[in-house]
Amino acid sequence: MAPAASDAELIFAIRERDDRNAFAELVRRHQSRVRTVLRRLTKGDAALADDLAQETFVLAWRNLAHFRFEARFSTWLYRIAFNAWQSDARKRREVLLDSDEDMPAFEVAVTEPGVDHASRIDLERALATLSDGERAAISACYYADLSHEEAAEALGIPLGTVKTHILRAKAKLKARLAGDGGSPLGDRIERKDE
Amino acid sequence: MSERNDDWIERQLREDARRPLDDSGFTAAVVSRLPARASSYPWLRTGLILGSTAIGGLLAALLGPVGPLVVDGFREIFNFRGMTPGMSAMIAMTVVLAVSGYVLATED
Repeated sequence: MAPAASDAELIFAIRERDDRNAFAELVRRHQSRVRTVLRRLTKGDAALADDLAQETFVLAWRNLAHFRFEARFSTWLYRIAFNAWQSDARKRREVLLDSDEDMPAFEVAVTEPGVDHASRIDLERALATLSDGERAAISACYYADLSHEEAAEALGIPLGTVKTHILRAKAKLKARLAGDGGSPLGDRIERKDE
Repeated sequence: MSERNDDWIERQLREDARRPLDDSGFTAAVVSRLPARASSYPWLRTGLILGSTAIGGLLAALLGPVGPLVVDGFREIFNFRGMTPGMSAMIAMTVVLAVSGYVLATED
């Protein structure tokens, strides 16, 4: 079996031959992470997240000629996804990535059944209570796997703000999940602390 | 809260991030939304627009009702003796045509 083409090889094929199959392969490879990041950003709104993910990939297709291989393709893709989320959220309301304002929301996303289904819902609920800035920083650093520097660049906020958001978000998540009496995640945190 | 607890939160976040989402037709939906294939000869479109702008401008200068004024202006540019109305009209028309051609040629 031939080894799978690298992202770079697929990108060259798209640029040179306008190869849609190569682009489809890129989408297949990255769709799961991009959609997950957007689901966390949109507080679990799967339909909105998928719309934004589609927009992200279409924009990537249009702008692939401008990709300079200075960063990983996935990093470039997440940058587009964050911009798509920010501009959509701006249309709905002002997104304040620099602000510490809390945005309480308790939308429960429809998630696939799995082993840790309850824990995941707890985590999603807890993430939805973070401010936009904190949720964006957590999504960038843990879900998109960007470094703090890359996250700052992708989100267009200072590095110090990213670090502050991460610290505050983790403190809030801990408080929220530990205080969530009766939830599997809360129980486990309490047991860990014993 | 302990530091171990902090690690545990990080691990939960990373595990949640790694959980794969089924494609469920997502890739097909993206591919169906991709814009039409771009021309293999992008320079051809640019050349055609700029060329027709130049030819159109030249014909307008020679055949249009302001022709003599513009032709005089063109001549005066080569025998520069200070700014004349004809020369101003010529320069203005050239700039307008060049900008229009550029905008059309670079438009997506």
